[in-house]
Amino acid sequence: MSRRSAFDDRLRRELHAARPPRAVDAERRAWRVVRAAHAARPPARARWRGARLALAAAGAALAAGALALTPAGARMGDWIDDVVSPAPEATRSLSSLPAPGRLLVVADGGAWVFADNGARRQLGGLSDATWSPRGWFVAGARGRELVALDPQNRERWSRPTGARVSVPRWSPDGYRIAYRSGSDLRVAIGDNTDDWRLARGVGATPPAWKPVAAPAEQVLAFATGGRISIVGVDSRQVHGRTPPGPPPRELWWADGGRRLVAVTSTSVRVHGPRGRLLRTVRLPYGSTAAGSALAPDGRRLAIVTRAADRGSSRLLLLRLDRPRPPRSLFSSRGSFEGVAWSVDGSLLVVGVPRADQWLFVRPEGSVGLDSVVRGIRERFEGGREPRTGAFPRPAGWCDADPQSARPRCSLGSAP
Amino acid sequence: MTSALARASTIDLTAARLGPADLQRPGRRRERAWVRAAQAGSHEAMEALFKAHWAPAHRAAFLIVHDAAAAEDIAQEAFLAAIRALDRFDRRRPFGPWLHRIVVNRAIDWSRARALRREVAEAVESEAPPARPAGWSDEVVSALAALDPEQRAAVVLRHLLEYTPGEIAQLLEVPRGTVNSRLRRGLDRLAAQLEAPARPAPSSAGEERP
Repeated sequence: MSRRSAFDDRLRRELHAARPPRAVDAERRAWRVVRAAHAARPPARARWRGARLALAAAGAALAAGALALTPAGARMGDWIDDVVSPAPEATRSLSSLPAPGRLLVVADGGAWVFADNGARRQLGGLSDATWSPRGWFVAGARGRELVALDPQNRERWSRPTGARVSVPRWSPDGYRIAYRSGSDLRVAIGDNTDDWRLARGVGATPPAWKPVAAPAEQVLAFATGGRISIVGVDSRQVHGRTPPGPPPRELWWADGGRRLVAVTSTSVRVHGPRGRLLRTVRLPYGSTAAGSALAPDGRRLAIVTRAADRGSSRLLLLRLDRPRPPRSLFSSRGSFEGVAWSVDGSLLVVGVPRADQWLFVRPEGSVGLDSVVRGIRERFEGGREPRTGAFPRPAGWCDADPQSARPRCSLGSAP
Repeated sequence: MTSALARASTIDLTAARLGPADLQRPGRRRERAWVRAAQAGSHEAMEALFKAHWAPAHRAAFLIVHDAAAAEDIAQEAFLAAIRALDRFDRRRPFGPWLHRIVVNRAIDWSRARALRREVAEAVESEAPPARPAGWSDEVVSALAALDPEQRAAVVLRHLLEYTPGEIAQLLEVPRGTVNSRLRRGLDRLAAQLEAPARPAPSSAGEERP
C-alpha cells in the first residue's frame, strides 16, 4: 500500500468515526422539527389535485413543444428531468432573516433591531416598542417614560409620565404617538412638543390607528371594556362605537380602514368603519387566541391559538375579504408566542418558547414551515436562566432601506 | 470509478471497503419506497429517510463549519428544504446526493460568512472558541479546521461521503479540475500536519524541562 493510500484510509476511518458534540440531542431536536414540517404539509389529495392540473398543463406544453421544436422527441428525457427534479434551495446565512427587512424584537432585557443580514443592535431598556410608519424611528416604553430613538439607538427625546408606559403605537402620518400611561390613553406629538390624555380607564389592548393619510385628522380605535371607541385624536370627535361584546385582545384596521377587526379570546369580530358589527368568526372549539397580526395587504389576519386541554398551538390564517373560516397553516405541541408578517407578506414568523425557536411559515402557495431559527433567547437575552420572562417577540418588520421611496412596516402581535 | 447510485445499489459487495456511513446507507429500492410513502404523507417513511440520512449530513456539516449549533441548523434546514420540495422530487434519483448538495453548499457559505464577520468585527467582539468535539481525533479536526472551506468540503465529500471527484464537481457546480486541485492541496496540507513528528508530551504534571 502506498503512503498516500494509507493516509487516505486513515483519514476515511477518522472521518467515519466522527461524532459531532451532543449528536443525539441534535438529532432528537431536528427530528421534532422535521416531523412537524412533514405533518404540516397539505393533505395528499389536495396536492394531487394541484399536481394533476399542473401535469395536464405540462403535458399539453410538452406535446406542443415536441411537435413544434423537436424531431422525434429528441432530448425530451432531459427536459422532463429539469422540470420535475427539485433544485437545492438558494443558500443563505442562518444568522439572517429569510425575507428582506428589519425586525424589531422586544425581549426581556430590551428591544433589538435585527437586520436581514444578521446585524443586530440593542435599543436599551425598553419594555415595549413600535416602529414609526416608515421605519425611521422607534417609539418605546421605558418605565414611566415614552422615548423615541432612531434604529442606531440614538435617543431623540423622552417624555416622563405619571404611570407605567405601555403599548406605544405611531400614527400613519408619523406625527402622533398613542400610548397607555397606567390606564390612561394618551397621545404625544411625534417631535415631543405636546401630549394630552384622550381617554381614561382603557384596557390593555393596544390602540389601533386607522390608515388615514395626512392632512386628514388621525383616527384611533381603542377598547374600554367590551366596547370599542373610534375617535379623532385632535378634535376628540367620536366617529363611532361598537356594540358591547367580549373584550378584544387586539384591534386591527383592515382593508384600507374600511373594516375594524377585533380579535377576542374565542372569536374575530369584523366591524364597519363606524363600529357596526358585520361578521363574527368563531375560533376552533376549545382554543383561545394568543396573538394576531394583520398582513401588509390589509386582507389577511394571522392568528395564534392555544388549545389548553391538548397543550398544542396553531397558526391560523383568516381571509378578511372572503366569507370562509380560518385555515390552519401550522400546528405544534407547546405554546406559540408572538407573530408578525414579513413586509412583502410572503412569510410569518412565530415564536416557540419551549423549543427556543422562531418558525418562519409560508402562508400561501406551498403552505408550511419555511425555516427555523433556534437559540432565540441566546440571541436576544443572553440565554438567561431560569426562562421565566416573556419570550423574545417580533414587534414589527420594516423594509430594509428606510430611505426607499415607499418604505413599509408591519406590526407584530401584542404581548 | 463507480457513481454514488451504483455504489449504493452494490453496497453489500463493497461493504468491506466502505465505512460506517455507507453501511447505514439504504438500498436504492428501499429509499425510493420511503420517498414515495413520505410523499403520500407517511410519517414512518419520513422517519426512515431522516434516520438514514441525518447522521452523515450532520457530520459533514460539522466537519466543514466546526461549529456544533451551525452544523445542526444546516442539516436541519437541508431536511426542511427537502420536505418543501418533496412533492416535486424525482424518485428515480437518489435522495442522499441531493441532500448533501444543500448541506455542503450551505456549510461553505456559512464558513465564508463567518470568516468575513471575523474580519469586520474582530476588534469589537470575540467569538467563543468552537466546541471541542468529543470522540474525534483532535489532530484530524484541528488539521481540517486549518483548510479553506472549499478544501474542507472537497475532502469531506470525497472521504466521508465517498463521492468521486466527478460527482463532487457536479454537486458543487465547479470544474472537475478545480475539485482535483482542492482535494490535492487539502490532502497535502492535512498530510503535512498529521504526519509531522509529534511533540513529546510532558512526563508528569508540574515537572519542568530545561
